[in-house]
Amino acid sequence: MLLKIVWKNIISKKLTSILSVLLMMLGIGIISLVLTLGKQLEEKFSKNVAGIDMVVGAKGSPLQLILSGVYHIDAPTGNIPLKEVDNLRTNSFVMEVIPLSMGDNYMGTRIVGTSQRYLKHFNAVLHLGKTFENDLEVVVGQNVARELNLKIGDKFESTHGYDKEAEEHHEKKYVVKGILKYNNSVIDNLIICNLSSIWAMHEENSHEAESEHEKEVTCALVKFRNPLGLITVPRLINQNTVMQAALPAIEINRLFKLMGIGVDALKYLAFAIIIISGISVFITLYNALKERKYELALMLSMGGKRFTLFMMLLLEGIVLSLAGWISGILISKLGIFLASGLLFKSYHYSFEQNLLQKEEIYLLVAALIVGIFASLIPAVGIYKINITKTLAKD
Amino acid sequence: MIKTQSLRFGYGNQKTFEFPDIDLKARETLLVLGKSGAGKTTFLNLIGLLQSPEQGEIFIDNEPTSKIGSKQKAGFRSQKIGIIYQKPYFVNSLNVIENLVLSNFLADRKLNHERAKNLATDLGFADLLFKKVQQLSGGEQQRVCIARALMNNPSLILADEPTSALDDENCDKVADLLVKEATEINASLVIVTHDQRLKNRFQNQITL
Repeated sequence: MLLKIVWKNIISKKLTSILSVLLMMLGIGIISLVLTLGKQLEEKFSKNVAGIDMVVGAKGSPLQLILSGVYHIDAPTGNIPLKEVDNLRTNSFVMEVIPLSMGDNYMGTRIVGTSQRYLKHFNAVLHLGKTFENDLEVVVGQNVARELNLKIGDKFESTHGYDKEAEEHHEKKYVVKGILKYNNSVIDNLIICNLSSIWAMHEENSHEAESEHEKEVTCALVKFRNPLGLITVPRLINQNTVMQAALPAIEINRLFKLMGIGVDALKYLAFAIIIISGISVFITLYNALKERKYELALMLSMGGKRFTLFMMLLLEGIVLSLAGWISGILISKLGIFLASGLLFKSYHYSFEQNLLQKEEIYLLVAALIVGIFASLIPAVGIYKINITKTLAKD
Repeated sequence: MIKTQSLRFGYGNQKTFEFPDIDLKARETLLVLGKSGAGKTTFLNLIGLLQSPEQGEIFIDNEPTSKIGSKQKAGFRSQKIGIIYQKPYFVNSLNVIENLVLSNFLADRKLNHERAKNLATDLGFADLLFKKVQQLSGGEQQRVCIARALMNNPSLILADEPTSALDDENCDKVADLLVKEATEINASLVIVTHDQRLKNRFQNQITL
């Protein structure tokens, strides 16, 4: 019965109730969305960077080098001689060097020439078929296989560059040898082959026989034996070679710092909206207390306990903020679902939908506190009502 | 059953009321008469346990009430007293039957929809149970208020000017209903009024 009265009271002042719920929804929705997106982006970014201490590539923007070499988002900075990359292996700090060669795509999906160690680095497991051995054999990531509907034995022509509509390499065709299991990393969205496939494709294309020492790659991922390498090796490379060295940890930090300003601003805005929602609940209930003074006095005269009526008003605030929270979370989940689809289309990045995050539980607590505080002052008014005076007034 | 002993109540220092003792058994009716300002409503508030007397004692069902706290008073009000106000007050967001079972809820009792329907049939508003209270006419609202006062089968029914807004025909009807329902549940009935029409009807009267 108590909840029924609470509900009926909320319904009876539809517009103001809707306003309070909408404001709360907006605030909670924005914060939840920002939190989830930020968190998932960071997770994706750090998962892909795990184990890679340094990226070397052609001189240019270090951030661009990281984005293209590690995340396969941006365009590469240029090419570097394979010989220089191989020289790195002689450095005692360097544990592993994985060269990557890019430049072609199939239907917008990047084809990466590399070695088996690249697959090993991601702990990639074959889902079907076997891995690449000879030139022009490829394995494809799980998302690629699904999106482009590629099966073992399928043959396809690559196009130059990163555009779907660019010029095609007609002479040679790649053949799918294997499909990888879902890895939740960037290789889900890549087509991977050996380095010489890429060279073979371009030699043929330019009709020029390149000699062994002129061979080039796009960049290389480097792992160090110990952290000391981070201090000495990059400087060595930047000063003494035609390559540049970029540290993913630093560049990604820089990127998140840049993004963080916007995220923080959004968060403050959302908190302000939540506070306004609380004020709206407060005004609604405060006015209701004045309008419903007779009703409250009546219920008191009928023997209702003041505590019961106190709880009734408090519950109205709680129900309103709870409704705001629930709809806010739903909106945010919907937003992530839509954003995920959008991101997948343009960057081959997708978000997972978690049921509820820890932060969203904190938001629930925050929403409830706002609701309780907003209704507390009107609810305390119950204890000040003088039954006979209120009912005697006209 | 209600009994009072030398009740006195004062508003500040200027106005002090002293009330005659009353002693009313179950199924008896008392008419409390008096001019405006004679303290009729104050008397009703005192025996309805809405205000506390300066002096004197009120017995409801032979239990003294002057020493008990406000919580127990609220308990008395919900369990043993049914009040019908001059003005029909309702919880406006609830419909008619919800306003009736509200009495049960506030008395911590099980919601008795059956009782509400029976009373509505008796008082002739069975077809209005699911309407909003604001949609009812004044007379209909008055009858709903009477039904609400009876929901918990109180031993004392207090009515404040229940007929002042009614025409002769309805005045008789309401008086009949009050007596009939009070008798049915073995309650004492106290009617506070200055309505001449009721004077001729009830012998047991006091004038303040």
